Amino acid sequence: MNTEERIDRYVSGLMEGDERQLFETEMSQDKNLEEEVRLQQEVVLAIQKKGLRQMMQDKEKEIRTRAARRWIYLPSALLAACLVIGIFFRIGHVRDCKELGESIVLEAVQMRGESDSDEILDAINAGKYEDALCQIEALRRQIPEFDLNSEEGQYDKMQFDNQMEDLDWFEAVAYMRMGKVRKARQCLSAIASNPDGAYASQAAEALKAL
Amino acid sequence: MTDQDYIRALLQNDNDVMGEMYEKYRESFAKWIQGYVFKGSLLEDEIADIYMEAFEAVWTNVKKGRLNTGNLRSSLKTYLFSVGYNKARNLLRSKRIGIREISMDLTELAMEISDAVPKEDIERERIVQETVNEMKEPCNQLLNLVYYQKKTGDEIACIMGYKNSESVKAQKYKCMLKIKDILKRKLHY
Repeated sequence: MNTEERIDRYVSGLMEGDERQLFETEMSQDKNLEEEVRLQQEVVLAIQKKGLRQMMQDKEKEIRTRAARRWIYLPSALLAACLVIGIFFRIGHVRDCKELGESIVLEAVQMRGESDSDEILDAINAGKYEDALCQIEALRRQIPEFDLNSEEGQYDKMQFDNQMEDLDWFEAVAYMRMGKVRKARQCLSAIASNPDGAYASQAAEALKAL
Repeated sequence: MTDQDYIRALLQNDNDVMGEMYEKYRESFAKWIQGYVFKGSLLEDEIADIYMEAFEAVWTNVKKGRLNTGNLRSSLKTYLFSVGYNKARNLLRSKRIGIREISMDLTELAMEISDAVPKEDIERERIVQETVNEMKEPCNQLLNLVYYQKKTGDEIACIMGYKNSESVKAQKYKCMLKIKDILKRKLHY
């Protein structure tokens, strides 16, 4: 075994008993050997310190990652909780909206006799809201011309305006019965904003309830 | 795990147990030093650095035989915290931040097991550490496996793709000779 190997064995703690004692006696008599052993010990310690520092840095990274995750998880958990609460709130809100819509008795106040409005009323009362909304839209696009110079023309215009007011109200009620709170609010606000409208006060009451 | 177990692990470089000890006291140290002692004067990064330095100091004292189960007068945790306290105090003093002194018993505890080292030895240690830190592969990995992780020749041969443990041994000596040659020049042997 050469000197390097012996030094390595000694520094690594592999020498025991007589072998160790002999080596230490040699060291005490040979300064060069003593220096070589010291240097080996210092290098080994430095290698081990480097390893320790790497371990500590890895641990710190793990700790930072865990802490960062907590900051992600916590807002995510809060957001999830808000969403759940929001959903429950909305479900409650939608239920109220539907109940309110159902409680409104629909009839074409403005129109008398058969009209397109009757079909829309029937559709809403039968729960065919999409159909009703489609028909409302179609009727709104039909803007007839009126001869406002004649009495007949003026009467037709008045009937048309009344029908439009009915349609607005039906639309609002349809959205309420569908549970579409935002849409219902929009429609009701528009109706309530015309104080002379036939459904203004009912719209205002419904808005308060929503 | 007892303090004796931890001291043994520090002596033998048992990476798993040292890692466990590191984590065990890390959070409580941060809370203590920041919340109780220096009340928000330290940044998170500073606390991490202080703790790492304190842990390394405790390890060094164990490795150099200055700290053992025989001369440890308190718990290992208390000792570790006292070393950390001293380091934090020194840092805040250098930043000229006013500090309040806590119980002298604690500050003296770290001082008793003195890590006072002569200046020339500090410089020598610095040069040796710097040279080892600059080691290139394969010596870097090889010597870490041999001296830090304490792997056998056969394990290292498998990890690093050497033919056998004899090849590992030969490469190990080459690496050590290379580092020692560099150091002899730097230290003016």
